[in-house]
Amino acid sequence: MTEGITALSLTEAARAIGNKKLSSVEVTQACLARMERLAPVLDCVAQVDPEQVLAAAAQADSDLAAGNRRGLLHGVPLAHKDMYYRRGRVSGCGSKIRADFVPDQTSTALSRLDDAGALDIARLNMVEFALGLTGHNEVMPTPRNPWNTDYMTGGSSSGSGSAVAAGLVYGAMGSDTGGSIRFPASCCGLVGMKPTYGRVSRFGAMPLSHSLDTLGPLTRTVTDNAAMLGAIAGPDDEDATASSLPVPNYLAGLEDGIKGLRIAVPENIFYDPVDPEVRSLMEDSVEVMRQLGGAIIPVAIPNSMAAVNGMNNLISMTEGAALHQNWIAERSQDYGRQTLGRLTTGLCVSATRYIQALNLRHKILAEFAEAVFEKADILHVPSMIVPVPTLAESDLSGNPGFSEFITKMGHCTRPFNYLGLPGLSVPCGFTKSGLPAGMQLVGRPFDEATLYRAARAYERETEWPNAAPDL
Amino acid sequence: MQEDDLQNTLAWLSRVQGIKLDADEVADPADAAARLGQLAQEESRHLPFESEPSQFVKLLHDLAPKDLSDD
Repeated sequence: MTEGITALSLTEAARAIGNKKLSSVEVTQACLARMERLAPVLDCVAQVDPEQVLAAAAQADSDLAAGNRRGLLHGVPLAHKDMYYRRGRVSGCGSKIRADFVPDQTSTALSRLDDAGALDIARLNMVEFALGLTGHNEVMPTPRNPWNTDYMTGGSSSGSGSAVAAGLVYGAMGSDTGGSIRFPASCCGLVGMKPTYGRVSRFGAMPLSHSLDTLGPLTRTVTDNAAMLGAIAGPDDEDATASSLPVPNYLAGLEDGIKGLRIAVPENIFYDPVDPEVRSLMEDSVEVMRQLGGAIIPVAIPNSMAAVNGMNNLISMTEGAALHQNWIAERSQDYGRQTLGRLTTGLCVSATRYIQALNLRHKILAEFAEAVFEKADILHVPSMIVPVPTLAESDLSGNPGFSEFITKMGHCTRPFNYLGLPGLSVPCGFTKSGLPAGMQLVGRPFDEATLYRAARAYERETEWPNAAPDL
Repeated sequence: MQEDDLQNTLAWLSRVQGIKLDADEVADPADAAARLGQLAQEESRHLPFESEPSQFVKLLHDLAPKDLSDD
């Protein structure tokens, strides 16, 4: 029975709790039992306190019995990347350096999930300081992919991807500076939203690169994802970069379909280095969307987009180096080699080049928007350009030659951090290795609603959301 | 990276950034930074003189769906 409970979607679990068909305690016990069995195999949980968690679930049940349903996510167990601060609780950021860090504030995202009634039942492992797309961590545990534990989860929200795909929790927050939500979503067969820059307050979340950082959810279904984003998005007095634009109801119109929706497919740049197996899955997913009534529109991507992977890298490394400079000077031995190497790159960038990279964003976004959004409503591209590699294949420590490949891996994700656009990774099938692959839908700024509607139409038409790893 | 360039980079890091690292920790990152910096410089060649980062955030809002306007 408990395994059946953890197989529910987030919104199904919330409905069952709200209708009192299940209690929050029953649901939480099921998640904790699964966590106890699988977390040691998957290395995705940094810390859990079952006693405290069950007390919170019991409180949720009492509140509900008293007629006080806090919100849409009342009583539902979630867990988050270990970089979301909660006052009085350790937030280790996947590092040795902050292993004992106890923040005196709670992040806005967690506060809003609390307000919606969600339970926060564990801290999830992550890549050291969120710097890395493969999921490897040289100084803390490296999470495993539930579909096959020999394979990488993708990063840097590695524990979030692993825990949600394995059914340990119903959803998890990640963060995305160059693909760190969309990569684990793609590798683990999940829906992962990197929202528009400024759509979600970054207050109280570990910073990496203030110009590029975004926060968003990883879930097993599109509806779940829309529910979580709806809970956390919006203006925040604590974060001046959080946009004042109103937040639409992402669940309204979710089932409206995509008849007439204009879907751009790039003729150049994004598909240049794509593996044939991934390309075939992308073509299949485009065909499904065509059959659903979408108008498929080939578009030529401006040549300036060829530079954006590099520009994103330059900005994130430089801003990261500015944050880490004191620790690099005093505790460089406490960093993993990959992390230190990337931050050192930032130390070597001149201020003028960094500002040039920032100044270019307006011009490149204007060119991209004219080429794509004057013809289409959304863009369809891969999330990853290759099938999921094994942990061994993608371990830079053992394969120095993989370094260049890592840069290429961000080919379809980093550009949208640089442009600030929303990108939604959606499961679209499996490669021969049996690992999932994801397509990415990219929208106009602040138009996450259209991405959800398109993804939901696709999801409804395919069997991918019903697939789950055999654990 | 040439040995002279590497020593210059190490000296620059020490003097300007106040950070002392070993040569083998700096060689590859310095090469990467040089490549990325050159790319930024080349791409910026034709930017208007008045360019500044805040224009990007304004454009993001200008491109948002009109029904989200908070005016």
